[in-house]
Amino acid sequence: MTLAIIRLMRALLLGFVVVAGALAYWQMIQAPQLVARADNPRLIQAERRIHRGRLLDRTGAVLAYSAPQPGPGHTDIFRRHYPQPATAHLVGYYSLRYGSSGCEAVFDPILRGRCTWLEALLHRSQRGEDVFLSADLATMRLADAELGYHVGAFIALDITSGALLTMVSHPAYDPNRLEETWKTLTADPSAPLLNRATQGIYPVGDLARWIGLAGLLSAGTTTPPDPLHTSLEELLAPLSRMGYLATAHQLGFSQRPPIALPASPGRLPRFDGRETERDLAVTPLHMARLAAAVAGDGRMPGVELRHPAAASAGERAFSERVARTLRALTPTYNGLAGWVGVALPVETGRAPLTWLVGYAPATQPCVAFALVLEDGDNRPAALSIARRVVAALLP
Amino acid sequence: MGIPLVSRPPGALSPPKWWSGLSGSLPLAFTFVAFIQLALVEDGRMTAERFLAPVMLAACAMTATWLLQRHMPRHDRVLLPLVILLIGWGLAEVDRLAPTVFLLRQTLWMVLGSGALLAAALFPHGLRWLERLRYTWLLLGLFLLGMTFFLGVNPSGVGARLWLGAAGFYFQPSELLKLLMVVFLASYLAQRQAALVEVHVRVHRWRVPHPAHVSPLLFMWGFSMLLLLWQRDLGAAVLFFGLFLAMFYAATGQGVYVLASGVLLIGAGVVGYHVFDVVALRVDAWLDPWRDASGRSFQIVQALLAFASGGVLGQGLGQGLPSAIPVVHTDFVFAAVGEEYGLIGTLGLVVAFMLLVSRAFRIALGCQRMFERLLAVGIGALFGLQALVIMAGTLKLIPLTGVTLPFVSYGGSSLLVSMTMVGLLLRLSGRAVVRQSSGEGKL
Repeated sequence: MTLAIIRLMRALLLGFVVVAGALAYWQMIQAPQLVARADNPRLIQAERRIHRGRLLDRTGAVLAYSAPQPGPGHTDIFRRHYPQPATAHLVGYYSLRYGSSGCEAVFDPILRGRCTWLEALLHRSQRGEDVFLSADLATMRLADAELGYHVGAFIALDITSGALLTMVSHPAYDPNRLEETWKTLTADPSAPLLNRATQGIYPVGDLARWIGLAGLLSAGTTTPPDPLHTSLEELLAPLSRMGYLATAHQLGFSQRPPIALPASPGRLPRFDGRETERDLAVTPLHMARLAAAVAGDGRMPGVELRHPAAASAGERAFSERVARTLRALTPTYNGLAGWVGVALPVETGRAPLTWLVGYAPATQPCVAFALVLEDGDNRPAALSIARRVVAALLP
Repeated sequence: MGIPLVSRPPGALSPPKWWSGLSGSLPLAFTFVAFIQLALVEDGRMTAERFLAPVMLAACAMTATWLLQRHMPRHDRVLLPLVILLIGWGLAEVDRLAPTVFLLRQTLWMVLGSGALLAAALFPHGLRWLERLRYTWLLLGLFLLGMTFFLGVNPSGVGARLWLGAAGFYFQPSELLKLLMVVFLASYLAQRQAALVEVHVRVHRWRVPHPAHVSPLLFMWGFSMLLLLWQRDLGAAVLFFGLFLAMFYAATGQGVYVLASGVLLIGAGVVGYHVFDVVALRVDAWLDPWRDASGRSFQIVQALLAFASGGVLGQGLGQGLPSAIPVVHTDFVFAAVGEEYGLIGTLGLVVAFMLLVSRAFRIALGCQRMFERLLAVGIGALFGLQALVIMAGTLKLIPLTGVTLPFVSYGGSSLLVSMTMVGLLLRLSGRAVVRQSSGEGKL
């Protein structure tokens, strides 16, 4: 009997040894993989405890900040606030449920900061750094107000540094209420979450004339004496279709524009009988970079989101001489030089859209911009919007 | 019966003086540190009511230590500090994991339990009455358990109705049944031990114990099992099965029955898997919890995540997220310890339970009467099995069945009964030595 009791005790103690082994397995060997599992609620908890840095405009106005609120376990959690909904597409959103977008996504590593071992040990909340954006809040609010109920986008760049000065896309959304409105936003056919300035692809329409001109001038072909009043077919005749496509490629239209935000490449026309030179489709950002090249020395700057922006080397679109010739041809409207045009989307049933691409001031340009309005031939509205917004950008 | 003498009975050498001071104060210091930690994490205010539980624990512990030293100077000196440590740890976990009113209730049960512990240890008469009236005790336990079919409630409002309630207090008869079952088995096996080993009948080719000796035992035990299974108290049923095997083996020394029962249990598990949804669910969650991590195996996956996030050093008391596990304060308190105290804390708990079990078995070896010996074995085996079932369950070693971690989990009836059993162990340890040293054979 004594033997049986001792054996029984040994069996039980052996059981505890096995438990100790299992503990070591789960708490040491398997721990790193397990903790990183996406369904670990501690990850969300840790994420909510990060004190994200602020996003500021070039003057230091706050575009996004995190405010503490009491959370579970007597620790503060942080909630993101966006005091300027006009900057929604530039600033983006940061949501635990739906991820992040815009500058919140681009600068995430800086905004969230790094967690040192000491902070992890002391359970201090991780604190990120602030990021200054090159955009100007006052102009963005003005552009937002001017766009109003129009569907479209406006984007403006500094022609030498490529600093993004203004970027507004309509319809927009309120990032403060993203989680409540997500379902309506994603179901909305007008796609309010889409940033039309960098992701919306629009046919160039009448502006094919300027792309063709850039191609003709670069190739050294003689142009008609009055290129703005010759018909488009006649003007583009010396430039073969291949030449037109090569020009579009040279102007960066076949690629994603160099910007850290999500952006779409343009779409080259297929020339299948339905599609012509007018159906080359690009984003407003592509056009704004082309305008910057025309306004400057023929180089298209890379797009810089942070302030201060360093001078960008850019890509050469055409020579300085071509840029000068194009500037000379560009009409001016009250201190602002630009190309107005209408485009008719190939898809039947869609309203024509209005382009206004240009630079300002007309004599010594420093800002390049592109405006697109999706709601019909609306050239006067485009001119008045651009004039007011660009005036706010000029010193 | 021929009981061999144990070479060194527990507690025969009286411990050095520093031991009683240190062993008495360390568990209390640990508890106070835990409550201070919790107060600091919460809002940093050290109010008196926050320390009601540890102060009551200290009062009970000191009273018990003093009374035991005075009236039973040669009792086991490891048992009480060990149990105080576990209870203090448990109170801190209840404070951490459950609403405030739960801590008050648990403290009250702890005070009651201390009374029961002292009564069991120091009750002036022998344990004969306990031994003789075995059927009465067991039937009383079964009667109370049966009452839950008619009057049972669940304090939380939903779930299995395993409690009897009166005046805001809830008692779980299946907890009391554990103690009564140990008493019954010890008494029965002590009386019929020789017969069970020696009198056999032949069935086919095998020799099995005579039905006259084994059938009352199987009947009473089987009836309890049926009641528990009917109530869907799977955890208690598993414990009773293991307890029965352990005590039967200790009494008869015949391992073949243990093996046979093990095969039977696996067979029953396979049948249960195909017949009962509850069993299938638990087994599936055990075999591959990751497949349905957010559904049926949510609890076990969250428990494993808690263990993993604790790592070696733990997050620190009050600084993890054990509340992600449902019913963490009863079934998953071990996982909460794993998250906030880390591997160091969980290994500490494992070692504490190993010590508890080995002390119980040493006390058993020091007892001379068969009943007392089996009583101590039963109590030790019950503590060991219960701790193993829930620890291994939360670690995915075996399918999960909900039982409390003795002394640590929230649960008043469990605490009261466990403390009573410790009282019995203390009594046996003290008496075994007194009798041996004085040579007095009488009870």
